[in-house]
Amino acid sequence: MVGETLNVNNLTVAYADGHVAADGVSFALGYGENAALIGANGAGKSSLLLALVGVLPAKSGEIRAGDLILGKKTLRELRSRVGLVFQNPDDQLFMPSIFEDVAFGPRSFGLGEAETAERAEAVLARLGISELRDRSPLKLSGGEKRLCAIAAVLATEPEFLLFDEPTAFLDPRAKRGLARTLSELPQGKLIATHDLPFAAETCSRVLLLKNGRLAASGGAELLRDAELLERAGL
Amino acid sequence: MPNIASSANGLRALESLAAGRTVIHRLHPAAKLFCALAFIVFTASFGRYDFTRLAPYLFYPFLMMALAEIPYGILLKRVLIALPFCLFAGLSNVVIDRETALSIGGAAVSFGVLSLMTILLKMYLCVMAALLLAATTPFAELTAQLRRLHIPAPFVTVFEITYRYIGVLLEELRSMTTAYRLRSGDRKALDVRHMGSFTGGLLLRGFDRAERVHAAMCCRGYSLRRVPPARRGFAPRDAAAAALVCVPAAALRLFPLW
Repeated sequence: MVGETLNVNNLTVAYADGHVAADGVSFALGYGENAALIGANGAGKSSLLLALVGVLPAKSGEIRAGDLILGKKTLRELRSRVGLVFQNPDDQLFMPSIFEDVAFGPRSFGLGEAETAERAEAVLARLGISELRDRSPLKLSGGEKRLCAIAAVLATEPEFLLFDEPTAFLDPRAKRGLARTLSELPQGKLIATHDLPFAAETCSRVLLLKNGRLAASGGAELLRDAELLERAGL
Repeated sequence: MPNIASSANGLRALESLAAGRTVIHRLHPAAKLFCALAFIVFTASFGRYDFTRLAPYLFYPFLMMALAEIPYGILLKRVLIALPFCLFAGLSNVVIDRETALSIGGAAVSFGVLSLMTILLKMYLCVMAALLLAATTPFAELTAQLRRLHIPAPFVTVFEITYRYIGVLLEELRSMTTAYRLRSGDRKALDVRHMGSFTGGLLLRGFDRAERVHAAMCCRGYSLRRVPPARRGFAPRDAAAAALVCVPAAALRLFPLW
């Protein structure tokens, strides 16, 4: 919804073995805002994204999408408001056809058959991939799979989109296409990546993660601070 | 490698068949599920020497394959997978039960041979009924129907997740085998010395990947306990189709022709 904000307050995420993936992270992402979440391998980007949709439990802190605070009872609703596009589309696409995969989310959230079909067709058309509707996800190129994975998440009509390394497995042309697609989506977007040129092209804000902590936050000019990036292992 | 690829293709082939739009595909999943279950129960309930009484049941798979436009070869090949198990179970009867049951053109047929033939026919009919159900009903619709029938959620979930993870495991196995072969010179098979670490690695990778797949499903609203609504109601034509299969199947069981 326009005007809503995804708020993360003092979030700490730890794995069962004690490894702290995110340590006291706080930030806010507005509707329509594009923020890049950058950091070296192992900085905690993917874990942070998984925590934002409740896949990894938070040790402490608060995640709030609009007026909805993430908790056991609100998990389902929060996941309909915050969509996560996984790094590897193969983890996400598993139904026999793209249409069925895109329809999976709306159906799971309890929409009727007619509305589900309408949404799925609309999302496929919006991303320009209607011709893939009956294809198997296993027979698509990397760029096509990426668009289908985005379509599968968009079909649930989330207000915020989280992307985990969206440019992984993509050739330059597919990357350019993805950047165009992202710029046309109105949702608030948090894009975890170490593709700095892509981050500069798509995001107006930058969050720099180092060893699970938010080391810096600011405008796109952070991407040109070579010393800061070097210190963060980028 | 080719075997792994063909196993994965086999799964996909059934899924592609299930996406058809024939009169059988359009039937309500409850009708198809009921038909398959009833057919399996009736055929399995025949006695060990009832080969000839079972023969009329062959109408079901062939009629269904014709109506659903399923190529005969695809399902017949899959039925053969169960053949060795049934052969093993039935061969002991051939050895033990040698008394002559009937003679065909002067050749004596023992009760053991008759029971082996009955086991094989029963296996063929039951496996075909299950395969036909899978080949005419998308897997998601089938599991959704099981949930609507209030089959306990853990059973349906295990069934659902196992089916999805077979593909995941095969994919991991394929990429690991490729990587292994590329670095193992002329070796065509996995070396015994590497089997432990290879299998362990495969399980860990499969487990890791399965967790990501499950997380992606949960992120899009998948819930173990949610009962999905039916895509359409159970229509009179669904009941008529179920009756067309179940009534003759029941009649042949209760009032054998010979």
